[in-house]
Amino acid sequence: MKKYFISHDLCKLLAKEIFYFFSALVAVGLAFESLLPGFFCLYFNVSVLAGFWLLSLIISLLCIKEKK
Amino acid sequence: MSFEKIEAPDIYYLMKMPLNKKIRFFWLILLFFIIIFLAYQFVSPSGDWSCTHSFSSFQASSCLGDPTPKERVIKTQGGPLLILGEPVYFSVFSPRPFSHITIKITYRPHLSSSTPIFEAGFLADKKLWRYRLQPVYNLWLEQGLSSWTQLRSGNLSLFQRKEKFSSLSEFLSVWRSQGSSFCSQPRCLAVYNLSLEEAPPALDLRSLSPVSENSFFPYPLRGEHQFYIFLKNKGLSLSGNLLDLNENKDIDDAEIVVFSGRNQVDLLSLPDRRPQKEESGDIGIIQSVKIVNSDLPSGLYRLEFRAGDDLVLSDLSVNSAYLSIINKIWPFTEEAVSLVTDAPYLQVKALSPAALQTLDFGGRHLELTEIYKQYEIKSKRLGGENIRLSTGSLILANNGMFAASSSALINPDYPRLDRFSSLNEQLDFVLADYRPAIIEDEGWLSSTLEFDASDLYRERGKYSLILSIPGLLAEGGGGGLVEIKSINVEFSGPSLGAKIKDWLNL
Repeated sequence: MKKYFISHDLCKLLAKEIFYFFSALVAVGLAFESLLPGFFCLYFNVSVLAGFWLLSLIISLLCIKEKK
Repeated sequence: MSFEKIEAPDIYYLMKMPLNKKIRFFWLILLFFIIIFLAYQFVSPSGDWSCTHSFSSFQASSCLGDPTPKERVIKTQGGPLLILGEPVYFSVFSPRPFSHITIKITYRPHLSSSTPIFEAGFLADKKLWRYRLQPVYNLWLEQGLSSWTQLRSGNLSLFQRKEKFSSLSEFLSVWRSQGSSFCSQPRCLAVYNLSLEEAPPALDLRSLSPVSENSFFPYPLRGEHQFYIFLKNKGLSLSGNLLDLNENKDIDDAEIVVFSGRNQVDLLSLPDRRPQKEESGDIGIIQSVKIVNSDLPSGLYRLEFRAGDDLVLSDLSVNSAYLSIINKIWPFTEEAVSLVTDAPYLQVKALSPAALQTLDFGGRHLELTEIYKQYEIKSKRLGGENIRLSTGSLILANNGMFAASSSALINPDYPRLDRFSSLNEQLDFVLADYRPAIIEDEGWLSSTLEFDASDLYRERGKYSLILSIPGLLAEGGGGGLVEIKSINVEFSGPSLGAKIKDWLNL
């Protein structure tokens, strides 16, 4: 029977990629908002998005700290 | 014959990818679909785009902005929006301009005879602050005329106090060919929400007997005004003076447009080339205004003086015995003003402390004590009244005409069914373009309104929506309230394919 375990590397990888994803989404949002104010906000809750982005940033920073 | 070996694509490539690439591939694909979705909504290639704002459920964001001013509404938790005062404004977002807007309002009206009309519309002209309104709910047409006979064809309804016409087409045929001759007394037909440019005038123009050839309006008029004139003989000759107060920051271009029915027959452009700076308060020189058009045949004309509030038109003279100002007048003078109007009520607003006074309306007095507050006074009788002001600089409005003297007053318009109309006297017929409200569950009603959006005002991707219930005052004025459950907005216009075909001239 296989044994499953959570790899620290996998956590780091996920944290990093999730942060990249939310950063990219925020960049897309900024691009649309500068083009047409209010448009991106119709489909995305900006405060929730900002919260997720901040959370992913904190987690990825913690992971970097762990690397030391 | 030789064949080159072609390697088939490695469909297992994705499975063989390292984990970090797999994750990145996954979110890049997700981001790609989000961008495609947003781009699709932004372009709206089908030509349709819609959104619904439900006030009864939580919505973090919507195409409808918050209602303003806030003191005229109450937002209940999980309940409908309560409108206590009017007007209430919303911004309505759309990703791009469209040619047609359909809005569906679900509401519960709690209105009275002092607030019988609920209308909604969009801003069409920001300079003149004109909204294009459509009826949402009309208490009289829904309930007040229930004892009258109703004839209906499509959205057009004729209400008769006593049955005289058996069909709407019979009425329209008689009306178009003979005017209001079917009336047993003058002005027996009231209209609501009708475009009357092509309709016969309410007045028999042949019966007019002008007492003079010319009219002179003795008071300067500030801002936009509309006039009716009647040319007894061929040719129009109009003159006046234009003064720029330079109080606000906008450039003060102006126009005088002459209409015959709905047709524009003459235009005088008055661009602002005056050297004085805007907002300087420097009045500058008086500019002469003149229109001479010898080709205009005799008849009834409507003049529009399109101008901002900085411009004052004075010494207005025209070769017509009649010179009536339509619905609103702003005499700009510190001297006493004497006017006549044919409407049985008057709405008054003072914009400066110097204009506060006690005015006389047909022998009744109205004391103005606050600036920017709209006051109302009703006449004791039907018909025209005299207005006496100790000083000008007041905005006077009603649904009738204003003139300097009763001999100069002409009103070719049909009485409009508004909140000041009296259904108990004079009126025998009401013709309305009105779509009755649809009854839904729990006493909710819904009304669908359609607008041609091609010339509506749109700024920063937003249209301006107004909900208007004339007479509804939030400051304890009574008149009831309106509950709004939801507003659905549907935009439509040419599809992307049609636009591309249009660009390519296919």
